[in-house]
Amino acid sequence: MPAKLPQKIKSLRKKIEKIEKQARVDLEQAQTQQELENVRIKCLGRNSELAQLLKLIPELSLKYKPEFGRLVNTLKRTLEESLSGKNVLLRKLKQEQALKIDITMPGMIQESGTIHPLSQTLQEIMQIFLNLGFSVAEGPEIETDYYNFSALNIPEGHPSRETFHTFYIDTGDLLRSQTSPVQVRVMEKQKPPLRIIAPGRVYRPDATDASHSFMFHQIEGLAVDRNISFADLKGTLSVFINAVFGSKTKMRFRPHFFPFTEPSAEVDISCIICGGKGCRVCSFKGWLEILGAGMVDPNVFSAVKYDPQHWQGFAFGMGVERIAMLKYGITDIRLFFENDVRFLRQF
Amino acid sequence: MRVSFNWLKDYVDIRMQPEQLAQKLTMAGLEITSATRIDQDTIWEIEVTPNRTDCLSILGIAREVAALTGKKLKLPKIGSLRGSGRGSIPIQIADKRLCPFYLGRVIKNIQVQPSPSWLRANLEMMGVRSVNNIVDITNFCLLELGQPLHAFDLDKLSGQRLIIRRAQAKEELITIDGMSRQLESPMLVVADKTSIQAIAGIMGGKSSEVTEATTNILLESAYFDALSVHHTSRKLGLATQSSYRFERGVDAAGVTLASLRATQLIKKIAGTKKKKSKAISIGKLIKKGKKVSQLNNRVRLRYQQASELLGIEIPPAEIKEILRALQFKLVRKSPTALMVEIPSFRPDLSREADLIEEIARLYSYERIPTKLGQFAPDLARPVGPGLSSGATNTTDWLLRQILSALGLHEIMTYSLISRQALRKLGIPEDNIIRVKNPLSYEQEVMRPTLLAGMLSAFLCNLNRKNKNLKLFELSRIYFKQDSRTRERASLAIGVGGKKPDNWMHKMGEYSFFDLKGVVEALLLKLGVPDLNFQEAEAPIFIPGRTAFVLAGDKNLGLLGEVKNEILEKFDITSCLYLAELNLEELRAQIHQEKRFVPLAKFPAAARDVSFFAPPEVSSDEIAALIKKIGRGLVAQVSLFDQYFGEQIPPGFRALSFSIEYRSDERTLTAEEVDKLHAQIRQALNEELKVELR
Repeated sequence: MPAKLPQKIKSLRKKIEKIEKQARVDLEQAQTQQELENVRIKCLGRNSELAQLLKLIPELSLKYKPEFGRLVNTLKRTLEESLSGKNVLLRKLKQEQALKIDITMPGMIQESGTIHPLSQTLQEIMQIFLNLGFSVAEGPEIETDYYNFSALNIPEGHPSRETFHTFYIDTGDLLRSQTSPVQVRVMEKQKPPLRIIAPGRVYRPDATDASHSFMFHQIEGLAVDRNISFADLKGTLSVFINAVFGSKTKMRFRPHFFPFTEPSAEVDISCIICGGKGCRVCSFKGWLEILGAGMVDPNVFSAVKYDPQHWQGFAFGMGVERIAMLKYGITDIRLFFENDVRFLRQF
Repeated sequence: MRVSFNWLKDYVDIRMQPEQLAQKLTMAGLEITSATRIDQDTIWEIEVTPNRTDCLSILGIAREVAALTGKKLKLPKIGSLRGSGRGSIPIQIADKRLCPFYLGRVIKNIQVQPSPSWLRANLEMMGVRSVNNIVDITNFCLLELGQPLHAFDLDKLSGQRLIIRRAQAKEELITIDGMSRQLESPMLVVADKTSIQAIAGIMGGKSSEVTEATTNILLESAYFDALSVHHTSRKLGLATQSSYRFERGVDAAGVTLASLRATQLIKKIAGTKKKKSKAISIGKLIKKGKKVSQLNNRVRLRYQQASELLGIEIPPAEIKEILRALQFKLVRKSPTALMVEIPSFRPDLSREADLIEEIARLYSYERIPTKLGQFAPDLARPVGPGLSSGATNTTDWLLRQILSALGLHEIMTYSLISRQALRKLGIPEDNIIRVKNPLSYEQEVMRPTLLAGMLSAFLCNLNRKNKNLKLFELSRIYFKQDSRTRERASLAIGVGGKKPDNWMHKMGEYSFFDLKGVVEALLLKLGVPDLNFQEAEAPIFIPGRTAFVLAGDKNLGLLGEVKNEILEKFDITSCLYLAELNLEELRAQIHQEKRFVPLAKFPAAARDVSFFAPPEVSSDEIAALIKKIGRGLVAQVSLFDQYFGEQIPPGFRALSFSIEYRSDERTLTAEEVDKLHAQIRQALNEELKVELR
């Protein structure tokens, strides 16, 4: 049944004003999305007053049609805009309320694990020498007397053997007391020139305490060429020392004795704790001994059938635990092998 | 080696402070490890390397100081002592190889008494206890000259004769320290007619020691074979100041000098002032054997060789100066080389390289430049056989990175373990490598598995209330294979304890599937192909909770839940899940080359299926059947629920899978997917006897 027609535009305007006013009140009261939706249905829905007005348009005479249509459509747009404005407002309000969380509560950490400090130190040292053109060689930990001693110019009964306490196993072989046997094994297989580093475990039956372990890690280095000198050894090790301990660290070569090198040296670095002034860590000497080095002894070359008249080279060896302890400030070597996760987590 | 700074000053003019000289010596290879001020003196502890036998005496150190400071060495004045007195005894060397040279001298009518204070003071500064004047003189000469001496009470020597021979089986000697020593061949001894009186070069016998009652002595100065003294000292567990020097090799020329020096001192302080007939009488020197001469005491030094080895040209004049300062004789000189005569006190020098070290040492290592010129990085150098430019290493580093990213901590455990640990793990000892000289029972054998170390790491942590434990170790294991020793890289992974709870989630305990998840994540990341798991049995794991890890049909290792009885033996109360993989096999299965697979163009449709599965049916079988029936249209099958409960037939479990259907060619219609899904449900029911829900 057709609604009663407002014959005059004037009364239509009143009607529109009334609808608008009611809509403003309704919108004002709507506090939730649901309430807003109810308002939308009431204002713009199939049974709304607006819908009733729109339905009238086709039946109107040409005289009223344009004006009537314009007014009703304006009303429709106005209502839609108000609704959408209110909608934005409500969503913003909701988000503001939702955002209120206690951001000081702990996050959901995926706890990551750690790589053992000795592995990290080994890797760091190897990377430095790989960058200098060295290759990595590995050798057996179960060694023969020949590779561990004789080929390294440490004959049976020589007092220098005394400094290498050694574990022996039931087959008559031994556990290498140094990584130097790898030098010999590589030189036997490969012709010079060469540059290698050999990381690995070594064993010495020394009573365990805060600074001694019957098992520890060494990295051995060897470079052989026609013209490699003691000065190159110093250069190579200074690159290494500055890379590991920083460019301000000083290096010092002290004459020493190793059966497999001649000349031999012990290498000290200026104490990384006190900078060389003297402290407990360096026993008030200002220097810390960190590795042994020297020019390969001619007898070692002879043992691997390199002609000592044609080839020369340098070798060095260092204890990885010692370097890691200095680097991280670890005071007890046993911590490395106890594997307390409170220790491991720190690296 | 202990050195008194004041005593040192008797032999060389020192014009610097002890600290300054200590620094100089340290930088020349004689490291002063400690310096202590006592009264007006400084006592040094010097680390003498095994090659420098010449520095095991005050005179030797003085010689080094003289060479370093350019001062003259002041040798003690020893006149010639022919000896005119009565008395000589027969001395016979039965083994000329072990004792090439022996000097004896009979000295009669001495008066044994406390030493004069200067002698006592000198010994005390050096940490040697004063005994009596004769013994003190032998010790003084040892410290001063480095040559060990011995004095026998002549009247206690049976038959008044000496023979230097090898001990026979079961011979015995009570040494000066009062201990009874069992001797055996080939230990070298000094014996009289009836019995042994001294262990050559190591220690004298109690019965012929010099006491206050002694009036006549035989003074021994000899050269004993270094190896022989070394072995005997080791075997007897008896190390003395004397054996320490002999086993390193004494100065062949010093044997006579020391004998003369001691005789001179004895004459001076142990003579009697009684009537003439009782005056001290020095016998003739009894010489047996030949003075030991150095084999290669002339060494050629080429200037060019020195500069090539050291990387610096040291002027010939400076080289000559250094060598002369070291008391080396330059017997021939040419513009390019020198012939150098090495003195007898430096038996460690026999080759050109040895001389170059001496030159470098005195020139100072610090003055040698630090360069990388000749030795620039050469990255193009081909890697030799058996070497890697870090390849193994890179793989292992990748493993470490993945595992630590997965939340695991890397551990490092000892390669030596106890036999008890093997027994606890039920590992037979047949192929185990045993250590012959372990320091303790904890280092008796080489580990054939990383799991023993893993268990001790768990124990250590659990005892310290560290509860959340995810650990791995990447290292070697050791065993015998075909009676040869083998070393193999291994990877162990362990999880146990309690996962850490947080305010949002309660996490509970670790399970088998946490460990399996770590293994899967690792191997997938490494690109191991055809990863699968099969039921397995192993002595340490609970049956039915143990699996092989396989890549195709290549066995990579085992994982499982550790048996309670084994945990109990290790005093572990929490459940543990361990895996050990053969790292060598695993490395061979790693594929890191990546190939791009185009992204799916068409959407997937998901359907779930739930059923009661009978006990013998595995999740893998169900997934395999779904894929088979799916005929290439099943993109993914995932298990999303497992449930046990009262409503479920006994032994059965309720499983729910989500199946993702997708075609690479078109969008599948709902009808198509429903039809295929129905076929899959039917197949599961018919072929695997599941009860569909």
